Amino acid sequence: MNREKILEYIISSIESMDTDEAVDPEASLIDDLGLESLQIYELIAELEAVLGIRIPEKILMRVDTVEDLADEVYRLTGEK
Amino acid sequence: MVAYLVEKLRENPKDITIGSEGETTDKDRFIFDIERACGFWKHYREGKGHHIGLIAENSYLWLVQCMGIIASGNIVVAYNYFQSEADLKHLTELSDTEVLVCDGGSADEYSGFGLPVLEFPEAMSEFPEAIEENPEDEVVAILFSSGTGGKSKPVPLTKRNFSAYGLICPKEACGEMTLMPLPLYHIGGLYCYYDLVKGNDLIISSAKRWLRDIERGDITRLFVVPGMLNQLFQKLDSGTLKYEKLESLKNVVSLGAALTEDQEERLLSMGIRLEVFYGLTETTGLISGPGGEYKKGSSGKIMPYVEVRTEDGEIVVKGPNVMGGYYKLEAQTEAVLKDSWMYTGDMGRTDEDGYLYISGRKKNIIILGNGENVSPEELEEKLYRCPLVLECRVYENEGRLNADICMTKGELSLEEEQREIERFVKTLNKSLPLTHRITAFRASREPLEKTATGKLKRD
Repeated sequence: MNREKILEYIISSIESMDTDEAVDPEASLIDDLGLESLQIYELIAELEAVLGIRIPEKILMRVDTVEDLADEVYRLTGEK
Repeated sequence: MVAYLVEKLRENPKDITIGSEGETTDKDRFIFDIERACGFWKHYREGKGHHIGLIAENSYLWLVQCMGIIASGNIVVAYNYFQSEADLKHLTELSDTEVLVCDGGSADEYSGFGLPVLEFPEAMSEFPEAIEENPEDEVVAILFSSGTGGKSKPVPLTKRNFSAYGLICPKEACGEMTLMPLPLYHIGGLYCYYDLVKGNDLIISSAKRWLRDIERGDITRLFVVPGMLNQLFQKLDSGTLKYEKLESLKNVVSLGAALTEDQEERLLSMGIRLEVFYGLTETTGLISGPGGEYKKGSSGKIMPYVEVRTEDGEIVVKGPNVMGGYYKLEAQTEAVLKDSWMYTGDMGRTDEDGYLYISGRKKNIIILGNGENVSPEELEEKLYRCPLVLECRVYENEGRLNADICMTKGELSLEEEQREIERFVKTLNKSLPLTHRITAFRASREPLEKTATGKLKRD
């Protein structure tokens, strides 16, 4: 899955959660979209299942926005 | 401690299994892997009692390494991997950690610590070695606690500390399929040791995996912190998790923070046997909880090995489960441990049936819905690194951390200073675990409210 598809998947997953905000890729997951940590972990688990890769929880130390998450996950897929 | 676990596993005619990340291992293989880890650590350095840092996400191999390190006569130092490099480095120095062992592929992350770093596959010998019994007063593990306030402190725990509950727990019900999603580096996560001693099957899970794991449909016993229950109920209410998947669930163990009345009612209405465990890292967990009839609002029956009293409303405990003191931190030890009585920092009472009820915190600790303790002073200290922050106060607001900030009056305009503070907080948040991030703040030039003695007023 390329980076754009990963970003689309993340946005649609967040939109299916009960957030009050429309999802802007530059939005901060916690500050702007109001996601709880457990919701973010759940999202990562979904991405693992869909992409067939292991996503270490520690990537969240480098993630603030929706785009950041897509970039980190894409990096882990190893696609060039 | 590990010898006792192995003895109980071998005694039990049932073929106990340990699962993690979709794979399952039987008890014979588990014992063999512990012996291999033991074999490695026995010969890694001369002598015993070396401090071996374990830093990885929950997994089967985490548990194997933890047990193997202890079985080799060394001391496991269990780290929360979700911390900044600076904080982790500080803790390795505080605890005299000599080597780190981590997940496969993670070694590079810890290369700047000045310590040897091994990955799990490297820390297993080809040749298993016999597991030694630890002497009662030997330290087997160091866990970290924010305790009653302030920074993380290393808590050395002995075999006697773990045996206090370990010796009595086999008398409780067994034969469960237990799901453990709590972090194993935390005392609550290490309760899985007792579940294996009791003869339960175990699935090692995580905050990331637990909702997938519960969909196995065979989980009978579930450990949670209250924040996870909101997630579970939301999934059930939206239909994304079917009630049928929870038909096997008979027992929920809640710990780390208080359940709300709604959470309690809902679990009881599902016909679930509810247990609330209460304890601290400093008391090897369990002061109260397991077994006995559940009483609403309580933290369970006080364990038979613990003496509990209250002093000015604060819960004070004594027993073989209580630590001997923080590692190399005399002043902090003297502040909480007096004549072998541990001052918990929690307010509460007992009833005539020996049940414990917690009513609040004495010290400035915020307890989040996921059971994590957050020290507002520790976060405030980080905020004070911003030269524009004159005063600040971190507090909890609807389960999230917020901050009030009084700014210095510098050369920038109010709006420019507020933007600078926003940039500082964003950068700070990136170095913090998700749940410790400051999600909102108010910055002005108004001094913060003080008490009559001039201290910052906290609610």
